[in-house]
Amino acid sequence: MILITHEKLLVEDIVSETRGDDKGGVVTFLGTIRDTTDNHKVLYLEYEAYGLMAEKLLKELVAEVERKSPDVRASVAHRLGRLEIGEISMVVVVASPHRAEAFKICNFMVDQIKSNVPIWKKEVFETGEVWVGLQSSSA
Amino acid sequence: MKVTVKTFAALRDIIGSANVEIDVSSDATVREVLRVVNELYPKMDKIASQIMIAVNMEYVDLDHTVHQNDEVALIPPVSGGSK
Repeated sequence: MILITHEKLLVEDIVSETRGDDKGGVVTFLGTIRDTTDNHKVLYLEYEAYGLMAEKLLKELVAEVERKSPDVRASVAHRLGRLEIGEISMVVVVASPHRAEAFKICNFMVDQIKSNVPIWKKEVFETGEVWVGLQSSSA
Repeated sequence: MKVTVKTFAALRDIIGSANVEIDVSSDATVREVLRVVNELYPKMDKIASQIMIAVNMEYVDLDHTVHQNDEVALIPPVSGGSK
């Protein structure tokens, strides 16, 4: 399943949707909001997306994984909007007959999502804010 | 022809608008689209080299030709998920 939403992510529901009786290993990755970056106290984060394209790329990613490994089932959910410290911004679940493949694919998917899916986050500090990922201090 | 260009995140904040309408020749490439937007908004210079471009929700290179009614999006570095 693919989900991009402003609502709270319900991990149990996403895991239930993904797992199955033939899957002996289920790996769940949670991206959560950290309270500090480079020793600066983070107040909250704001996520935004190019929604339709993000959804399309996530669907393609899940389809690619499930095509290459037909025994595997994968899900990605990403939250948008303002998120407070400790909240869950992303859930990736990979269910496989065996754990090694599930860990490997989950790691691959998180890397892929971070490198090309058009979702952005702005870190808001007491002293200012910054769009994460820009390679300069110009933001 | 008129092309509407979508902007996001840091780039939208710099430009001050989520959609920019520009005029380019009918065989314009993505490079030309980027040049025109940059000319209108010189402040985007500082992040222009980091921008990826999508046409109709597919990443394309700078030589890609743009057509009427294409959806062109300028995509600053993405940062979904978590570190």
